[in-house]
Amino acid sequence: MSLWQHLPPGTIMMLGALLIPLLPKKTQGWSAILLPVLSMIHLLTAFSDGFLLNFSFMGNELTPIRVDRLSLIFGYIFHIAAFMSALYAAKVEDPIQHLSGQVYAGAAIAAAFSGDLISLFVFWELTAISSVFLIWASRTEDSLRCGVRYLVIQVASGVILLAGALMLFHDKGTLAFENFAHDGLDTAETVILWAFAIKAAFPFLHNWLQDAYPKATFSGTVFLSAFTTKLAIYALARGFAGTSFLIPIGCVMTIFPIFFAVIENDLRKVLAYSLNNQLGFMVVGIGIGTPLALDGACAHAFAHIIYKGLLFMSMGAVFLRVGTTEASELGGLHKKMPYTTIFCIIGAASISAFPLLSGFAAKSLIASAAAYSGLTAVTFVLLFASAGVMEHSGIKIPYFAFFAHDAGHDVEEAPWNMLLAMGIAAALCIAIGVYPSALYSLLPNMGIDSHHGGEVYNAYTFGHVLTQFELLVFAALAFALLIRMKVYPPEIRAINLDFDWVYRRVLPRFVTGTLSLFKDMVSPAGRVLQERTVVIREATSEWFNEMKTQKSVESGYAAVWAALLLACFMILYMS
Amino acid sequence: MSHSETTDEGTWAIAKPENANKVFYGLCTIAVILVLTDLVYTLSSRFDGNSGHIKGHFGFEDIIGFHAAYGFMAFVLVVLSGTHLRNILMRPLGYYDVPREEPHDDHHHDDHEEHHGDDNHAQDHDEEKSSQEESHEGGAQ
Repeated sequence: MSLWQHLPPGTIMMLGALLIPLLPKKTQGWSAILLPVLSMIHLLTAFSDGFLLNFSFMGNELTPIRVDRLSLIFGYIFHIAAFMSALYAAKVEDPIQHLSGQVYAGAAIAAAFSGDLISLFVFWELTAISSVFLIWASRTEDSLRCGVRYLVIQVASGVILLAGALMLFHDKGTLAFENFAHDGLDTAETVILWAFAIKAAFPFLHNWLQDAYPKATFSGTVFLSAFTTKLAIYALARGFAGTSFLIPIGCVMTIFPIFFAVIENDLRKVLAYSLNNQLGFMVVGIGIGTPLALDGACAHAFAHIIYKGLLFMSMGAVFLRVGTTEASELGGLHKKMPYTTIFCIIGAASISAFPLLSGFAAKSLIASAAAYSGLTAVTFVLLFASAGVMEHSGIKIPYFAFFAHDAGHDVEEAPWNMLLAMGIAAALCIAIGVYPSALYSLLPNMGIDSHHGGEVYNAYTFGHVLTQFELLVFAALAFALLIRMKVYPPEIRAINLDFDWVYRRVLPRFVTGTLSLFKDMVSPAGRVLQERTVVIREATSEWFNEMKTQKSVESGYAAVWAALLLACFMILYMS
Repeated sequence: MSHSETTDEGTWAIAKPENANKVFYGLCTIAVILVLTDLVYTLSSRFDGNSGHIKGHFGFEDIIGFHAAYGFMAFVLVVLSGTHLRNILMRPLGYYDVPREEPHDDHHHDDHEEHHGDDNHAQDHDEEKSSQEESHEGGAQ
């Protein structure tokens, strides 16, 4: 076994990223593009399906590398996403974003190849810690606060995962990351499911997503959109395929974000809701758990990463040029940014699942798998959700940004590297839609449709294409009518309450309210606490100000150190 | 939506106000063609003796124009419910902003002083009265 086979896939990106800050500023972004390419070569040459790296660690069998078809398809798409995101961000002169972006992507890749729960935990936490810098890199007061909320929730997910892993080890004496759903879920497995549920943005656990993604930098959001949630989807597919209660959860996920997306003004936040809705489709597929449904979830994740990345890229370009993605402030940009407009429309049509584009080729597998399992209600829900996707991502995003009333922004087209990244993504959307069998051949079960004589699934039956066009064209017609009748709700700059209201408003008020009741009793203790808080706050803001001015590299290293520290803690804990 | 300022060059044909009707009726035409195709396809399949499922896995999917009607109604339902949802969920910008003053240790729910009257955006429900500075997050990069 060569040295290269001891390095988990993605390691090259994580280690290589540490060199980025040492390079001259102009070349940092461009060299970051190389890392996913090198890492992909590493993955393709050093590993093949069935590869396992085991070693004994304090008497426990650990599997830091496991290569199978399920991990491979996520490995491939994560590399593609990292490449596109790096290309998109190449001109950004901010080492911390390149560093954290590559560490984040590399950690997600390594997590997808982790064969045991401890390796998974390490990379799971590393994705959390590295990605928060993409939010903080916006360098606003708002993004600092939001990043802290994001980090707390993400790290909590990791801690819950570790707790579940240790419970599992205690109960069953194994740390292997396998399918836990075979014989019902016991407590340890349920705890692990909660960890995954947080990152997969299950209902009521979802708000970190809509909170954080719109506040990251314009290129940071592109990175963020690809990895965290899809890593959770991978983990669910690995650990909980066939867990039937995931089906109703997935259905709720496909539906509720639609309504929030309609009234949301910030188009990047609309995309975050839309992302949540797309995850719902995948969770439904995982819950159904048949080979075709699982293939559907993987195919959807694959296609989704590309078109969602494309949509976030187009909105990132708008943000870069105009300075906002609020629909009420935009409009008419197609005149100034025609290429971005075209790419955005391709992304929007892909997510809406227009035939000949990737969304149609991928989503159809899940819909068919639901139908084969006789899930009538689920089919109705998924059709409803498809119309909803057409509303918020298919029409609202391109319409309000690039058409609608002309807001008169005199801006330039996006830089060429961003256009190229969008162009590649758009080309992939079309390629997958036109030639889906290439994608199907990568799926865990190769897209085999057991209902049709074991042949590869065919999305392009006449009836299916026809009904899909009917659904989408009549949805578009509804939009046109509502606009003409002037009943389409206008875009309003406002905040719409979501579940984060509970922990951003109710809980703090409750706590301060309760504390004030005991004010006299606890005032000495309160004063000490307050002094401490002030100290911490000052230290944080000092660090943050430093980051603002110097764009300090150290904070990136801090992320890596934090992960190493976590690893040390874990070793101590295990021994 | 008004298209008052679209006189600049570079406006796409589909976005020109004078073409708005053409776009709309074009869409209507496509919609009609789709339903007619559905009609012909479904009837001819039945005529050929195909008694099984033609377009999908379930019986309801074979109803002529089912997906058209469902897509249309779902869309309208989603959009119109958005208006009502706003009545419940909408709050002014800055709703979550933490007041800049000293840490407020005695922020009772019933002190009704300092009510800023600039919440013209949304119906601010009773007890919410955070300092409503219209902080415009996310400046230009």
